[in-house]
Amino acid sequence: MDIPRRSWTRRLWRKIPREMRMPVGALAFFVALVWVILCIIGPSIVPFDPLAQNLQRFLEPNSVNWFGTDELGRDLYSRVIAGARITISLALMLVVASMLIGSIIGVLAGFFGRWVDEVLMRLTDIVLAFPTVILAMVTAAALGASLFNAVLAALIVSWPPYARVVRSMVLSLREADFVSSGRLLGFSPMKSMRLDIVPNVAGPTLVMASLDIGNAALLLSGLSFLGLGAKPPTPEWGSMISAALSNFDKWWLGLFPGLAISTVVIAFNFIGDALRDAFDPEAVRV
Amino acid sequence: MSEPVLSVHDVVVDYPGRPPTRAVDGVSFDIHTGEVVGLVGESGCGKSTMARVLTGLLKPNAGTVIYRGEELRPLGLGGRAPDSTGVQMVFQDPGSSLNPRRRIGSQIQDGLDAAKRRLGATDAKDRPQTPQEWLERIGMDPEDAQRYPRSFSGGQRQRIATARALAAAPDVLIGDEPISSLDASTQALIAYVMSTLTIAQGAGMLFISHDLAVVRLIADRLLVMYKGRIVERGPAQKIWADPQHPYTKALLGAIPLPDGAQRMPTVTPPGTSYPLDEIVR
Repeated sequence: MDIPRRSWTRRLWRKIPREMRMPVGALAFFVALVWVILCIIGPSIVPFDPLAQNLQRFLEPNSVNWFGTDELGRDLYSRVIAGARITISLALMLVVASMLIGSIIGVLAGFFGRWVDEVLMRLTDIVLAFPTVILAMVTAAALGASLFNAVLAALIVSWPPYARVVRSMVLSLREADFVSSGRLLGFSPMKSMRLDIVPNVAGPTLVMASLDIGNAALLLSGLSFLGLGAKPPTPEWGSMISAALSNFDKWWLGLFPGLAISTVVIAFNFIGDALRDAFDPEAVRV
Repeated sequence: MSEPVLSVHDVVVDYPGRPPTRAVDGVSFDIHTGEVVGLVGESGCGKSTMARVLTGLLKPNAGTVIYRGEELRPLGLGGRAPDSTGVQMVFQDPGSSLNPRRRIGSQIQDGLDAAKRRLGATDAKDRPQTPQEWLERIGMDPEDAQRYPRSFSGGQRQRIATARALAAAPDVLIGDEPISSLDASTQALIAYVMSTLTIAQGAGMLFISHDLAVVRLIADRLLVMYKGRIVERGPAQKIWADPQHPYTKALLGAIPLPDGAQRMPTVTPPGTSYPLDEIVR
C-alpha cells in the first residue's frame, strides 16, 4: 500500500468531533496533563516541606507563601501540590481496580448466563441499591479511618456500574458469529473469553473508566473531608478543606484545595467525554 | 450408498412464545462424504435454525443429530469436546464472522489447532498446514495473515472464514447463507470456492441459501424447505428442470433467466400459501 497514512495522533484527532477539538477538550487535556505531571514530580519541586510547621500561622497569600499558610503555619501551596500525588494516584488506582473487578464480574455473568448471571447480578443490584456515598461512608467508618480503607470503601461502591455495562456488552457479543465459530472450533470458555470477548469490550470499558477518574477523585476527597480518609498531617485536599471549615474567614484555606479538586474533576470528565465521542461517533451528544 | 457422515432424524425446533413458533417441523436428511447438499427456501422457513441444530449450537426439542454414528452433543458451557470439531460452519454475515480484534492469520490458526487436537497422529496432512498456505489456497496473498478483518471485503472475509473452518479438517462443512450478503458477481465465485475446497478435502457440505440459481450450480442434491418442512428433495438438476411441488415451482418462477425469451419473473402474491401435506419425492 503506497497511500500515505496519517499518523495515529492525527487520525485520533480527526475522530474527535469538531466542537470538542477546541477549546474545551484541548484545555481539559492540558489541565489534566499538568496535574498528572505535578502528581509525578510535585513533591520534589515544592518550595517548602508540606508537613513543616512554623509560627507564621494564617498568612495571606504573598510572594513567599503563594497560597498563604494554614492554622499550623504550613505552606498551603506546597500542601496543595503534594496533595496531587495522593488524590490523583489513588483515584487512578481506584478506577483501575474497580474496572478490573467490575469487568471480571460482568464478563463471567454475561458469558455464562443462567445461575452465574443471577448470582452475580443480584449481588451487583444489592450494592447499587444503596446510595453510593452513604455506603462508602458506612464502609469506611466500619473499617476505621485511613486512606487505604477509604480506597477500599470507594472500591466497594464503584465496581457495579462496570459489571452492568460489561455484562450487557458481553450478552450481545456472545451471540456474534465469530464467538459461535470459535466454540465450534473447540475453544474452552477461558479461551473464548480471552480471545473473542475481552478484546471486544475493552475499548468502551476503558472510555467508561476515563470518565470515572474525576468522580473517583471526588469520592476519595469527599471521604477525607468527612474524616473517613486521610489522617490530619497528610496533605490531602478533602481533609484540607475540612480543616479550613473551622477557620471560615480565612478564604485561602478552602479556596485553593477546592480549586484543585474541581479542576481535576472537570478536566478528567471533559477528557472522558471527548474520548467517548471519539470512540462512539453515533452517540447523541447532549 | 455409504454410511452418511451426518444425519438428522425428525428434528423439531420450537421457539418460545405464546403460542410457540414451530421453526422446524420434523426434518430428516443425510449428508454423505464428498457431496454437496443444497438447502433452499425463503426467509423464515427454518433453514438457519437447521444449521444451528446441525452444529450443536441449538438443542432441538425433538429428534436427533447423528455424527459418525454417534449422537451429536449440543454445545454446553463447558466447551466442545475435541472429537466433535468435525462439523464446522461458515456464517451468514461477513461483518461478524471474524473477530475484528485479531489478525486473520491467527484466526485461521485456530482451525489448524482444532484439527491437530482432533486428529493428532492420524492426520493425513493433505491440507495446507499454515495460515499462509491457506490464504494462497483461497486465492489471497499470504502476507494478508498479518492484517485485521477490517482490511477485507465481504467476499474475502467469507473466503477467510471458509479457510478457518476447513483448516479444522471437518467431515461436514455447513454454509449458513454464506453468500447472501455478497454482491451478485461475488456470490457464484464464493459458492464455487467453498464447494470445491470442501470436496477436495473429502468432506461433505450442506449449502444453505435462498438463491436456487446459485445453489444448483454447486449442489448435487437439493432439499426445498417450506414452513419448517422439507417439501421436495432430489437431484439438483432434476428439480431445476422439473419441479414437482407448487412451492418449488414458485421459487423457480421467481428467478429471472437471461435466455432471450424475455420472460418476466413470476411474482407470488403476498399471503399465498402452499400445501404442506403434499410432500413429493
